[in-house]
Amino acid sequence: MAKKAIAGLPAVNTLCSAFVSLLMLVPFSSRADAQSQGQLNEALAPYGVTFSLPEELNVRQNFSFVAKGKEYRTITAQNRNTRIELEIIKRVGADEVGQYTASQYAIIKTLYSPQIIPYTGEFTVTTECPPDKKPQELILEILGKKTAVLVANATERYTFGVWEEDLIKQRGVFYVVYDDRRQTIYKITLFKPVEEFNLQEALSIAASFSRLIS
Amino acid sequence: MPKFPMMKICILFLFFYIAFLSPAAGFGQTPPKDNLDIIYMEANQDLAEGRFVEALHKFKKLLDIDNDNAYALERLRYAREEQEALTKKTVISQTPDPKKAGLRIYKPEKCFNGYTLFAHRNLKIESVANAYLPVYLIDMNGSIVHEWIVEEDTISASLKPDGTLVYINGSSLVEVDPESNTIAAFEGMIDHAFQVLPGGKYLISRQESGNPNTGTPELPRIEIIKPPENISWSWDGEAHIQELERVAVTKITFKGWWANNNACEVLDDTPAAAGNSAFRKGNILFGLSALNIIGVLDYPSGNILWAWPCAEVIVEGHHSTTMLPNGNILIFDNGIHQRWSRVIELNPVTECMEWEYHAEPKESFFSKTMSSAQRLPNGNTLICEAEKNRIFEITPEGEIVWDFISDFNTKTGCDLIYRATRYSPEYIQPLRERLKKAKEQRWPKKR
Repeated sequence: MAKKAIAGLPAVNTLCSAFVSLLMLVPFSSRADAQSQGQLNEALAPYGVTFSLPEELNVRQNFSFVAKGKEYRTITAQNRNTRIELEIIKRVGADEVGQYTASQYAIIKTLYSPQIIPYTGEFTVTTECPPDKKPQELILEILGKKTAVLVANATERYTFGVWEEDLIKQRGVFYVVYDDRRQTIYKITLFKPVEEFNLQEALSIAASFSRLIS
Repeated sequence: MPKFPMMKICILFLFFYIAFLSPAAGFGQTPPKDNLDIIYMEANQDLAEGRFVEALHKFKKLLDIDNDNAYALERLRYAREEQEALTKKTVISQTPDPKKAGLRIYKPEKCFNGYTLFAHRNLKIESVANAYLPVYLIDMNGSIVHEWIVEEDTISASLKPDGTLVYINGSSLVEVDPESNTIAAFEGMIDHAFQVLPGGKYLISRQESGNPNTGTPELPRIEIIKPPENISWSWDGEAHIQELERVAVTKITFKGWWANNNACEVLDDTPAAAGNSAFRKGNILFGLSALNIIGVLDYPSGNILWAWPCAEVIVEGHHSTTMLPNGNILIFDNGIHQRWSRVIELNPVTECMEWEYHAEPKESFFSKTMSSAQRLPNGNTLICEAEKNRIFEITPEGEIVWDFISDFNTKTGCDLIYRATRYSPEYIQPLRERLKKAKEQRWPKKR
């Protein structure tokens, strides 16, 4: 009898696993098109914007949600040597843009300021980024506006804030543009491996972000 | 024939007398109780008779007196190895290539399938107002299924059973709804740990005033609060200094984060209470990482009832200390000096380690700060290796069945995940329902 009960356990486990798997399949309500991948410019088409790219990028993440009354969409697309991340925020009033944009540039810049690790003993150390490894600030014309662009070093996991030579694996071009016609913010980061990074080419891709001609 | 002038002979004799024969050298007298030789002798005796904990403390005391004593250090290491050899089960796995981000391993049949909550930290974000930072909920494929946007650097977040997100950001504890709107907030420097309690209450660990840069000493507190401002119970670390010095076996220096108060948990009913009444339901498990103290407070008196005697010599910085339903304590041991991390399961009654996980090579799993470990309902363990943005799940045998490195970090720019928590699909259901309802209210279906 005892043996029978134990032998029956795998079946119960399988049923439970099946139930859990079913729950996992039910999509989150805010994730209507998370499964549709495709290419970057297809994903951007509903927003009426596009990039001019030497080679199309495959979408890896395409996810939308609502937070604090605004609609957010996060898109990550990449191919072998180029990665573009976009955060699109709709319903942003012109009065909110300045503060948002300033905070996003400040986040990147502060990562290259002297770094203090707030732990006791030997871990409370300060390291300082050499001037030549700090983000380079440039101005590009994007969506008809002069836009600040940061060119900064990143890790192999696309993380800004590195200046040690052995940790710099990617270089990123970061900028925020506001389309006042659609009350939409686009926060864009383009990454290329550091050994393949060509500033002119990267800036040209960044500047190619434009409205679709309807 | 070499000449030995009388003067040289006298000097040599004088030196020999002072060093070995004079009363100052203790020769011919009864040695004082804390004489180093006696401590050595007793420590070696403890070691020979298998009292490794006692031996560890004695060798530690010798090293405290004489920091450069290579013999004491060697014996301490030996005692530690012997004590650790008593660990009933040590499991090991190889770390996959750390360069590959995203989902690295997924064996669905062996996982506790569910959703994982985490946020990237940015230690500098406090200087940036309205930073719009995300808290992520991802599925087993590493895809984002929900995101919250918060204004400040999230240290640690937790989902309440009703789908409300609670997070701490160093200056407050905040409750937000599924669409990131603030429900309630409690102001205070809550920067390490919290536990959701019934009735809208929280147990929190905080360190008021502490500043490692200026050296201003922290004032460690463990409190029961109810947002927005009710504090119903408080434990002040500085009022228990003598007890802390006794259990830490060290003299406390009040500077910066002298305690690093990073864990707190109200104990549930577990078998440990039968072995030691200190672990009875309602008492409070706490961890002071800078002092290497893992202990239990009596509730409500706040007296320290128990502390793991080995913590100071075995654990090197710890995080995420939590009691499991079997009465054991799960600890993420950062291993800050040995430079490799591990997760250990301690039986607090026998004070022996029951289980340990580390990587092979050991250095391939290492985070000197932050990090967490969560025992999952199927017996697996979810581990967050903070400084590598890595979250992975292992079986009790140490097999990695899910491994994920987040590359969602450009929003924060930062390479740290303080803590990760896995939830079952059933637990997430109220969040789904609230999101669905919110969507329907925003965009009603056309009839």
